[in-house]
Amino acid sequence: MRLLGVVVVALVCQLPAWAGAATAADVDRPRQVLLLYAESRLQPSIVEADEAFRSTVSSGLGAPVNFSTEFLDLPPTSSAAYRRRLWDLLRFKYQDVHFDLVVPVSIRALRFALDFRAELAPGTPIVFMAVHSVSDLELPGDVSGVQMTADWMDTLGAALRLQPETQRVVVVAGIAAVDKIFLALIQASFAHGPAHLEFTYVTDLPLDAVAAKLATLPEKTIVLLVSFLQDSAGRDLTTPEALERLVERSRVPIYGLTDITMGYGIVGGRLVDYKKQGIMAGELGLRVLRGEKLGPADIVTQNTNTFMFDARQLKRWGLDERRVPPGSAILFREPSMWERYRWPIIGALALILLESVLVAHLLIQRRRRRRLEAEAAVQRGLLAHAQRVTVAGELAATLAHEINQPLGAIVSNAEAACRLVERAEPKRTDLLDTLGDIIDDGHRASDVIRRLRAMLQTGTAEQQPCDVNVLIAEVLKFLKEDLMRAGISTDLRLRERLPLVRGDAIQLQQVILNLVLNAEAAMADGAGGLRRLTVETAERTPGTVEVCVRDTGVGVKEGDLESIFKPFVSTKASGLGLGLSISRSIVEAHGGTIRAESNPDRGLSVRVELPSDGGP
Amino acid sequence: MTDEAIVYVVDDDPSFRKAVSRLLRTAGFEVEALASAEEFLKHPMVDRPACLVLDVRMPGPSGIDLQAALQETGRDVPIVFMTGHGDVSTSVRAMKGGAVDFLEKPFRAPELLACVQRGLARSRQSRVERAERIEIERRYATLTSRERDVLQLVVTGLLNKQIADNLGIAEKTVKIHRGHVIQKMKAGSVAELVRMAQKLGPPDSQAGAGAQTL
Repeated sequence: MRLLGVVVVALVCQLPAWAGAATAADVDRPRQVLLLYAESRLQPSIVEADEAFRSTVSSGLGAPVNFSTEFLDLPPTSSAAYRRRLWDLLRFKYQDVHFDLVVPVSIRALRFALDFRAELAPGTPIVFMAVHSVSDLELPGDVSGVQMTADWMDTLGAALRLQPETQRVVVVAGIAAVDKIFLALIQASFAHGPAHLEFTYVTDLPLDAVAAKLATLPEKTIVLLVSFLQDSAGRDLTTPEALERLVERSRVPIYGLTDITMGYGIVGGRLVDYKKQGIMAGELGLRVLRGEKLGPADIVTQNTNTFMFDARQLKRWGLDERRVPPGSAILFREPSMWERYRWPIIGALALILLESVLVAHLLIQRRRRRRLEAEAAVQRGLLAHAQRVTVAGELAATLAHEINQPLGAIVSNAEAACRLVERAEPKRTDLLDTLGDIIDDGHRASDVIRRLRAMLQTGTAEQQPCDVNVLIAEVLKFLKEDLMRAGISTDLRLRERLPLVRGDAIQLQQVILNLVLNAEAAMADGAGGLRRLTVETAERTPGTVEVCVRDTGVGVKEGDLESIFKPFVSTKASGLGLGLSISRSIVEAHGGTIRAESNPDRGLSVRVELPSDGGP
Repeated sequence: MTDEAIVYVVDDDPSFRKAVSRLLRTAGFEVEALASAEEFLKHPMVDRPACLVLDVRMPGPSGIDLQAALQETGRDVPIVFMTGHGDVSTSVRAMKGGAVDFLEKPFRAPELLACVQRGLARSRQSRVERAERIEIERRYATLTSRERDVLQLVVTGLLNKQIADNLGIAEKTVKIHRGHVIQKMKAGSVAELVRMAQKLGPPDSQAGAGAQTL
């Protein structure tokens, strides 16, 4: 039942084909190609040729192609009976298949195909490949193919170009049938080799023994690896496998015969190019499948071998790459850092360049900024100094008074003392009193001068922890007389244990001095009424110290609260307009802020906020 | 009225005030030390020769302010100014206001003492002049209206006859008035009468002064 079902399905499926024209069906049916390999297994060379052939045929032909592959496993000593049996088996296997093309690969496969084609695939054209010679074959008219050049004199020539000092050539081969065929071919090639070269043939040895032999080769020797599919110990190998083992030990460069050993350690040579064989055979096969009749006249006999060299091996053996024959393909060239990482390198260089430019730019900017900052600091120092001198000039009367007051007292007391002494009976207590007063006034005078000198110093921005309260007290001591004369009462609200501020004491004092003098001027200008100066310190937010100087003066218009800090902006008739601008630059140089605000009732408050130096 | 002189020292600086006072005392002066212009104005004035040693710069009214105030209230005290920082305009104002001198601190004792002496001398002098003027005014007040007219004309140097013509009275009557005037004014001569009249000032102020004195 089940079998019947399958048959029915098959019939149904084939119905459309019957319905169509017979010729069309014949054209459209898949082409059948039989590939015959003499080997028993998939050798690298087979893989390469097979793949090249199939892809050439498949992609070139519009119709589908079915490839059948047979590994004939034909030992060189195979008997006619064996071949007969094998053939029968294949015929049985393919009794329902009509082949359009038979492709024998290698001379043995070709022989086999020629022997039994009449029975298996009568009238089917043959396209062979990898056959080194057809001279001793009688080829029917429908046989064509691609010949493989079995002449490695070019390889030897290339080796001698690379190593002109070479004296010995060691030819290594395995014992497999193919190995032997190739060995015979090369022996034939080198039969007429250069007379000065000594040829040694190493075969019939286990692989390890061959490797050991290569390890002891003298200099000026080259090795030519023929083919190594089996060693004398009966071990099956591939030539690349054998080669890898030999390369490990060999003291001299190894050259090869076929491209399948490329990349496994041979230096190179004019190598059998299996891929090219596959492609060329595929092209012939395409023509046959398209209906063209090809014969022995179409056999490709040209040398399809290609000069190929392994850049890594050239480098390893110190061989000059420039000495390879012209037109050689250099494979496995170690891409230089540049070739391998071209874009990353370009990118990285661009990045480095960009970064360098940026860094340079930033450095230049930083230098410029530092220079400007330094200049600004100098300018600020000079300006601040000039302003202090100006203030000192404005205060000259006060200062003179301050100094002359104790001096006058000293002189008067001294004169009084003289007179006391001149008396007949001077009173000791009077004298001592007088002298004591002289001493006190002397100190007073020097105090004034010390304060004056401190104020007139050209500030060299010395950063040190300063107690703002102390700075304020000193300034107010300095201005006490002045304020008193102006009828201004002073209210000091200094917070105890105020954190220290890091900065230049003289410059900070100047700020306070400016603010107090401004307050004084604002109150002097105003009409009568309360004249009160309030100086307050606070730690409103942790890490900052706030100084507030408040007056009951004429105040500043709301719109001018910011502009009064600009240079040459003054609300005073005689003012230069530098005091507040210098104050601001000093405060900002200390990392602080300064702002003015109008008091709710009257007058102005100026708040200075400075970062504190740390703990209180 | 006593002739015992007194020196006032007004300066806001206690140590300086003390030093100057001490110096003046050692020189033999009676000294009164005060801290401000207000204090001095409030201080009761005694009628004796006085000199004021005054600081220019002080909190509150300055020395110059005090000088003006004293002039306004007619208190005539010679002032020796002291200053720690003399400027021309202040010193000119002070001198124009009749200051004895303008001393810059620090000054030598002889300078100060000489100034104080001059001040006191001026004070004494003005006290004498003022006493004399008061006496003359007192005498002038005793004259009748006609005698004052005659006095006016006598001091201008007119002869009796001219005075009689001027006043429209007899020459003989002029002689009698003239004799009364000289007697009442206790003038030894016409020349002395003229000097007295000069001290009395122009006729308007004479009337005023007379009225005041009366």
